[in-house]
Amino acid sequence: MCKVSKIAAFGLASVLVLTSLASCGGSKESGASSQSGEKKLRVGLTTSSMVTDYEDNYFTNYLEEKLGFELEFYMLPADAAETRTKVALMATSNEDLPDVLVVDGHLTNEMILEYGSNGFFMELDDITKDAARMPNYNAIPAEDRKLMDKAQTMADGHMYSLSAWEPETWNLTPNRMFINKAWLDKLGLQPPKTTDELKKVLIAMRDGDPNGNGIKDEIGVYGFSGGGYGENTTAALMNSFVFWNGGGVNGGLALDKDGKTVIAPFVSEEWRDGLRYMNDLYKEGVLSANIFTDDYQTFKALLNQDPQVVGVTTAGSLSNWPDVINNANYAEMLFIEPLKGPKGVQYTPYAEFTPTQELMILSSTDKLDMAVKFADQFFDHDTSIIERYGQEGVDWTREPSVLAEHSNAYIAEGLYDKLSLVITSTVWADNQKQTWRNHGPRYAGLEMGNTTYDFSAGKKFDPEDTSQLFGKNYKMYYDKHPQKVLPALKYTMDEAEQIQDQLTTIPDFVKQSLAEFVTGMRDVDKDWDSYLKMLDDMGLKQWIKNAQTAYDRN
Amino acid sequence: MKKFRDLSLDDKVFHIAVFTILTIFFIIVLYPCIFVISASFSSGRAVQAGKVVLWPVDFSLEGYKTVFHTKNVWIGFRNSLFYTIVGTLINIVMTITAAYCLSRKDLPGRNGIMLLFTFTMFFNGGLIPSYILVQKLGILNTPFALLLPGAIGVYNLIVARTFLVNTIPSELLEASMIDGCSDIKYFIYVILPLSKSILAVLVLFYGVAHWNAYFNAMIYLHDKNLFPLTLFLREILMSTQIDPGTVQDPEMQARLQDMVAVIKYALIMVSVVPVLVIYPFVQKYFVKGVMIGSVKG
Repeated sequence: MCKVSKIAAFGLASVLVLTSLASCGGSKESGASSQSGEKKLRVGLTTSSMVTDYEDNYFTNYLEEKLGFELEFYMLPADAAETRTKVALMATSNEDLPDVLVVDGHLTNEMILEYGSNGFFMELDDITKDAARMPNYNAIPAEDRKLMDKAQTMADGHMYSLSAWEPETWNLTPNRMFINKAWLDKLGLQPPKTTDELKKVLIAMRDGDPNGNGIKDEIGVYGFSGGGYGENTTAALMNSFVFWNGGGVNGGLALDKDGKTVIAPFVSEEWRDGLRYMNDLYKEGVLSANIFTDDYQTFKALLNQDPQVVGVTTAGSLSNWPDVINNANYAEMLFIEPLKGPKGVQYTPYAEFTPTQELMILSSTDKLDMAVKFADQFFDHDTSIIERYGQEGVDWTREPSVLAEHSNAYIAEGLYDKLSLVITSTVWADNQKQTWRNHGPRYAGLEMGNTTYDFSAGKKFDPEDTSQLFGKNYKMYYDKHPQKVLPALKYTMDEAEQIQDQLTTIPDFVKQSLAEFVTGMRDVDKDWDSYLKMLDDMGLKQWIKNAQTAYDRN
Repeated sequence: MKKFRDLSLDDKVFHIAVFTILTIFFIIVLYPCIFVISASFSSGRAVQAGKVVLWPVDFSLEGYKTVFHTKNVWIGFRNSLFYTIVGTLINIVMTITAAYCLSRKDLPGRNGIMLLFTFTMFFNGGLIPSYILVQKLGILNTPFALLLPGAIGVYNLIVARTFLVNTIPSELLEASMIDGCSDIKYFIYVILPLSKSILAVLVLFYGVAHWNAYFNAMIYLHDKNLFPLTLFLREILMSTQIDPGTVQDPEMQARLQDMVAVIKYALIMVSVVPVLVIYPFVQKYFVKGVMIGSVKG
């Protein structure tokens, strides 16, 4: 009896809590319905786990003040796939929708095209051209604006989204090659400049026990092929034979020397030479097969092993060596140029900067003017800075006296005269409520990106600092690609459907075959023809044909 | 139970083999748990460099400090607690009442009703119709979206019904009726006290499901103040996975990983501990209840 009444009491209590919470939810809803009169813009925003508060947020408040109306949030998940699911659900149910979406680049061009052409997203062709409605967008230098327009134009020739234009040279050539300088010095060798020299150096490293522990544990070339940010060392080596962007953008397709014809580098004789070279390194025991099997965790762990076991690697981020300034393993490393192949080819995986599509206006909105004003505000110069770096005077400064005290790697290399901005807080690495973590469209030209200095760690720029590679990277890597590179292609829905299978299976097959050729599971001489045949059966020709059509439309 | 040395040779070999295999399985299951605990007490740099193998390296409470200083974690914790308690309560009430009715042989159309329930185990409307249903009911972006859909788990209903059919003899009903007991009274004073073990099992099943649920919350909610802990946890876990195709600034993203490594494991601990704490108390009923329900079914 007693127990029953306890349960009943508990149940009653819970019901009370439930109803109180429900009523609070209810009041919120009535608030939402009365808002159409109150002029609040409803923003569907992809969240970031690093932002602790969106309502009481410096950037939110800044925008509301500039725009003269309030923002209300409709939260979208941080994960790309989940955002896509949620947008799909919104599109089918078509009720209770936000006015604009800010999606952090989570929607693919094909999805934007689909939702745009079926009228879920509003067509923005005329609005973007109208300087009265979008003054900031139209104030962007014509040259860059043209590129943005082009990126925003989907395969049907219309624009449904606004993009973030923020090229930074550092990210375009992530396969930065590092060689163990301490080992070279010990063995009395020079840093290699060609693939042949690399082989000699690696063999010396293999036999000379340069880490001095008496065990033959030096592993020569290391990386991990699944890496998305320069960790695929085989892609870097392949570029001493033929240009290959690493398989990411357009699945690795490239342009022929004429700059007009779309080709697949992975069926060329040069590719075969590259495979032979790497297979040779593998047979010498100086290229680790773990490149093809290791994951990010293992890669990082091995890079930081004590004593050092890695001779050569490529990596995009120096954060692979935690606390890089004091990292003993990184201190041994030397940043070198891409290697020259036997035929003089010296490229590095490179993909053109592609603006991400950030903001869409939903056709169902009844506050179009507010939505356009909101969208345009992001292209304002100051807003673009605040969006990325936070509050002026707190998180960053452009005080001339402060700027004069600092420099950066690009300026040290003589590429620019002076800084435009110094970052003074760790807002990017913190849980914070100063920004939305750079979610939203934006315009920041190349110069703006390259003339900032990050002083958040309280350490002034030191030209001797081996972790300051921006300038070197620009000089040694930025132009190491063919003059014309295949831009990220936009397929029509029909084209995309035709090559749906190819787009996923062929890049995977190429990667897998590369591993098999290098490790000798397939023979470069004997099995090459069957490899080509296999690609043919998978529909490579159709893919190249559609890619060519998409490229010609551009 | 005989002492080990008294066993015959065959039995000895058997015992040794069984213990070895079980020990290996135990270690396989235990290791990830220990790793997460150790990693949560280590410094982010040690975790990132892969130095944590078994015990914490560079002992640090940094992760927990960050987790407990994050407002979202508290919001999530509060909401998860609410959804779990209220949601489980609704589940239990719905399930046990339905199970009781279906266990009564004198319920007209019993098999038909059961068939309808079972039907939903194999066929359902799918994502988009469910979403539209929730929307039309007007509970999108309210707590009810997480409490009402799936208020009865059919699997649990079957377990509960089978339990009631098999353990509570129908003579009890006759006896109570003769003493002048109504159906409702019989249910409250006879059935409920006798089905404590199945109730415990249901609480555990439903409670854990509510605590871990994230998909419905992800789909139906868009107000941060209503998000359960799992959504925040997932957000943080997601931000460690670099997909350079969609990230504007991989360099920055890569640096962010150091920060995330610190809080990831601490947050996993925070979200798992409540379940771990409750489990031992329910566990004794657990094996009993679920076995009685299923085997004889």
